[in-house]
Amino acid sequence: MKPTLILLVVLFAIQLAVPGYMIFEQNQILTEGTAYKFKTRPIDPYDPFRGRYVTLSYAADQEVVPVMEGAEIESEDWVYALVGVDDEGYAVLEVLTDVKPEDDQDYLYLETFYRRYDGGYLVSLPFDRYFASEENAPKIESAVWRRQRDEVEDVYAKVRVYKGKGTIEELMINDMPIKEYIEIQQEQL
Amino acid sequence: MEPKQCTKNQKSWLESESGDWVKQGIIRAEQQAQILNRYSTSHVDSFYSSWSSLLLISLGAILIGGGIILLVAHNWESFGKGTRTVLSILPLIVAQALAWYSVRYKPQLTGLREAAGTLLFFATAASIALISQTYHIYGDLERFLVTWLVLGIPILYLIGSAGVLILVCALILWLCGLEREPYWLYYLLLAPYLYGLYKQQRYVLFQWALWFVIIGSTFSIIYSVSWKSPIDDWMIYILLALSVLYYSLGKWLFGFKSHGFWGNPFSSAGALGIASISLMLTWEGFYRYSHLDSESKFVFNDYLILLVFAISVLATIGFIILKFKRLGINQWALITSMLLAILGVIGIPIKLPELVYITLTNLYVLIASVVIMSQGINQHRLMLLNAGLLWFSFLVLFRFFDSDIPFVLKGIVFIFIGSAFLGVNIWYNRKLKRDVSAQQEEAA
Repeated sequence: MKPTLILLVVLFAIQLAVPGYMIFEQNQILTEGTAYKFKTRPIDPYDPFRGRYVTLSYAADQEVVPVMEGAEIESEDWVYALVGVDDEGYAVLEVLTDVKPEDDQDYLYLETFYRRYDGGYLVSLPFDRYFASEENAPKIESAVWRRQRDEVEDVYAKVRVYKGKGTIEELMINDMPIKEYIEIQQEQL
Repeated sequence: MEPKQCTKNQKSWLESESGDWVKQGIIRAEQQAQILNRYSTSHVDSFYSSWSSLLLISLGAILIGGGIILLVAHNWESFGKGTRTVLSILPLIVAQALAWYSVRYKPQLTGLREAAGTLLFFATAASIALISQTYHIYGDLERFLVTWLVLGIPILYLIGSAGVLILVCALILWLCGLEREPYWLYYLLLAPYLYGLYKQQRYVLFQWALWFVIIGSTFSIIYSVSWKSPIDDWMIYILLALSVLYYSLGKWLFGFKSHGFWGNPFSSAGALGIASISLMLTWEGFYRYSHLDSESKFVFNDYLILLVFAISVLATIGFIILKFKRLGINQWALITSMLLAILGVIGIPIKLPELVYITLTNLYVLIASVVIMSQGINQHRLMLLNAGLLWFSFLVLFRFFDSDIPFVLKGIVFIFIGSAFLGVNIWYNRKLKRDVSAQQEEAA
């Protein structure tokens, strides 16, 4: 076979391997990762290639995360954030460190964003998009915002965390998957 | 000797003309054959004969590819994860099969290769996009585009489609505008391919790609150090040096013959850059603040841009040494602006006063624009004359509205330059008349 053809086969293999690996990685996180509830608020932007999604703005993003003693961290560094649970059962980022934690401790690998005067950092959680159809994305946004104006709301993303990586399993309102919630809302109208 | 490429029109013109020369006994028939053998239309034929159908095929493939992307973006959330995963790999496999068929069995069909390459290019993006969507994978637009680009550039080399070349160029341009990272370096990956096009004399595509390269690289270089960078204030001089490099590179690559504005992208962009930046430097203020910001941290990007500056200076010197004998006065007029760039960078450390620098830039634009106008007249090149005139007029306009110069001084300088113009004109007309009458006397 000519070298061009061999290289072409190699290219095809790589082109298939990239999405293949992405699928493998996501499934691994979803099956083996620990589930956490991240309190969130969705808003609805648009991506030309991947379509509609809602950006999730997390409560954990707004909190300053302290730095572990002895860790040297600066703005826009990639660090490890240890994940824990608060009294109400929602996920919190407990502390930032530059040393990779042990495997029995859940952590997220993320980028620090902005340093605060007390030495802690604001970080941004990377799993901030939830893709939805053209039809549903604006509904998700309006449903959540409307709820938050009148009564008690409980909007959170169910996120699986595995070896530093997190992936969204489902977006929930009052312990109900968002799609079901929207369907019920439609029926009530 | 490799025959020179020309268009069908040129060849048939040469055939009919040389046929006449044979009839008139200027050359012999075998000489005519020899001459005609020096020119070939083969590459041009294979490229142009199918040019229109190629264009249609490329557009068709781009539309289909775009359509797939849009179908993906609709988000078929009712299908479930398994179906969607299969669906996301499917277009990729179909496109790969088509590409394989084209390269393995029908390498002579340019149209098929174009379509297969373009579809494969889009299919890689579609599969990544659909997987990201199914699993809510974060990853911003930037990471997505880079993955697409890295998977797409090999398609260009292995399948060789004009559509993919333009798409890759556009993708890099997009990345250059998206982030302050040195994404223009990706254009270097295209260099071997572009060189191949140049060797095959496929100039139209070559020029198109070069315009992308120039616009993308320049924009990216400006963007990446225009803020929070220690060499922020040197940007304008680095750009001027880069423009001189573009100009020299264009003359080096395409030769000194005029190719029109679009035909020689490097020289045209370079000349445009030199003219506009030198005009900016005639104003007060740029030079005063052109020192390094020693408090900011130097990062890779800053070193890279300094390297670009150094390469620009060295390559221009190399160009001058190698092509010294061929450089005309109008080329010198543009290339000497490199001195302004160097002076701008080293001016503050060697304590060159601002007034001297601004006077020098004003004098430079004045002299260079007049030189170019006169060359335009001498060589009967209207574009050159107009360009010089425009450059000159902007300088005059700027100085007329410059509030930092006292009116009296401005007035005197304007009257002086105006009289000089009139004087030269009158002298030139008289000289012309004298020459004509001298010729008539000789004839008599």
